[in-house]
Amino acid sequence: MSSEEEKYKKLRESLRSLPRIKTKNDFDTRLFSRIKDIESGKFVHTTPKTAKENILVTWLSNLFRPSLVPAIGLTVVLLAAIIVYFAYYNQLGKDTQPTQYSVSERKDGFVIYVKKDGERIYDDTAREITSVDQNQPTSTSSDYYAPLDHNTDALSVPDAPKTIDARLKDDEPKIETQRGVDMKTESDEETKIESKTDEGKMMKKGYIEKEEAPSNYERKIEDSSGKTEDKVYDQQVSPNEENKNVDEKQNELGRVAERRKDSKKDSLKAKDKEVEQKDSIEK
Amino acid sequence: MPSGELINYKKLTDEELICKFQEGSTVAYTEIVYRYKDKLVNFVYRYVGNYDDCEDIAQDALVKVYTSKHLYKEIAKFSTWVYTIAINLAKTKAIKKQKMKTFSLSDAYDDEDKDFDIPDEAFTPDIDVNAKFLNQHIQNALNQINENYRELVILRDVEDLSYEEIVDITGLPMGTVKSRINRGREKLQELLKDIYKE
Repeated sequence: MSSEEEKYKKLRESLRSLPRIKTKNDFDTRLFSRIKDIESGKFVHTTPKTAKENILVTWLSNLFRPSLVPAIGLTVVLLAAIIVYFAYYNQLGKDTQPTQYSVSERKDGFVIYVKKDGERIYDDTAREITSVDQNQPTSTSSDYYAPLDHNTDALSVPDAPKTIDARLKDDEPKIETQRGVDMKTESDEETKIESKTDEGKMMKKGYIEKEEAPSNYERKIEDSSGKTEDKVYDQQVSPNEENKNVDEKQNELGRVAERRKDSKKDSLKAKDKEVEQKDSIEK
Repeated sequence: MPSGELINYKKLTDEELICKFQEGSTVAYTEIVYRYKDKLVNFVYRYVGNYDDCEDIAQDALVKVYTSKHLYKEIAKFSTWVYTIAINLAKTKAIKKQKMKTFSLSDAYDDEDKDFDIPDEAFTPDIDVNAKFLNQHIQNALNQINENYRELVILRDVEDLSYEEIVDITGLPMGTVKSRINRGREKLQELLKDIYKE
């Protein structure tokens, strides 16, 4: 007997001295009746069914066991955030979706965009001319859309409504805008350059790119005798030629400004001389 | 059943009896039941602590021996095989009982319809009151210790099995068996310190 068993000798003795439990008298009878039932097949094995149920129960209990609760919670929160994000910002995206304008008219190379039916009121404004298409035919086309003038950033504030309605009514008389510059050439000829707008519903002129400058304009040259000579340039101008024209114009304007300065200086000098002469006469 | 045949079977070892039973002799099975029914009931009672349950478990174990006789191989002792079956059934029963206790509706209501385990006095030997109290106290202490320790302490100190047999029954290493038995004894001694004062 080892020392450990010596240590617990009393305990071991008391455990051994525990009374022996005996079976009831009918133990054998019940046992053999059960065996007979089993042999005759009265017992239906329900183990497979309970096993399936147990599998389901254990699977669910494994799925929702406490250690997975934080992960499941985090997943649910993330899913909710994603759903809210897309539901909310998709709605914003609808508001900020740009309205599309179809080409209603092409005149003289200018493309005029007019809003479609069913668009919002604050978009009922004149559209800027954004491009001049020289190659396209002048027929209208509903397939072409203007470039987006809205901010495409979904998070930005939508554009403020435009309140100025610059559209010309049908009853209103045609306004001819004139932009002239009086110039004195070396031969004292005054030249007036003016551009005319079209009769269409063009609302305002925005920027005109150099390459897309109007090819059709009138130039009125006024002679010193008061006679005007109209020249209509209908020819299509290539971009290089047009650049040359622009450069010539700028040079011409520069020369005119220098001449003006010179003439002003001459007139001032002449006035000074006159004043000096007057002073000398008075003296 | 002829008495001469019984006598012959009584002389056979457990392993010879199970071999006879495997060959188809029901008398051998009757002899096995006769030899093991009290051992099993006693062992299971000490492990479970409830007499009704221990009889059911002992019967289940013997039915299992009857239905699964072909599974026994003569590489181990028959007693080891029978105790292993009984321990596994006792553990399964304890788990089921624990689950039923967890979901029992009777726990939700107090007092009136609560079930009480009335101890069956029919099987107790005729002993004096002090001995009866002492036995009940030891049994309560056994029920309080961890079931892993309890199983091994019962097999070693109540059923008086050798360490090798316990190793075969439980399938645990020898060192684990010895350490668990010692820990179980230590716990028991703590619980029964009012008896073992000196």
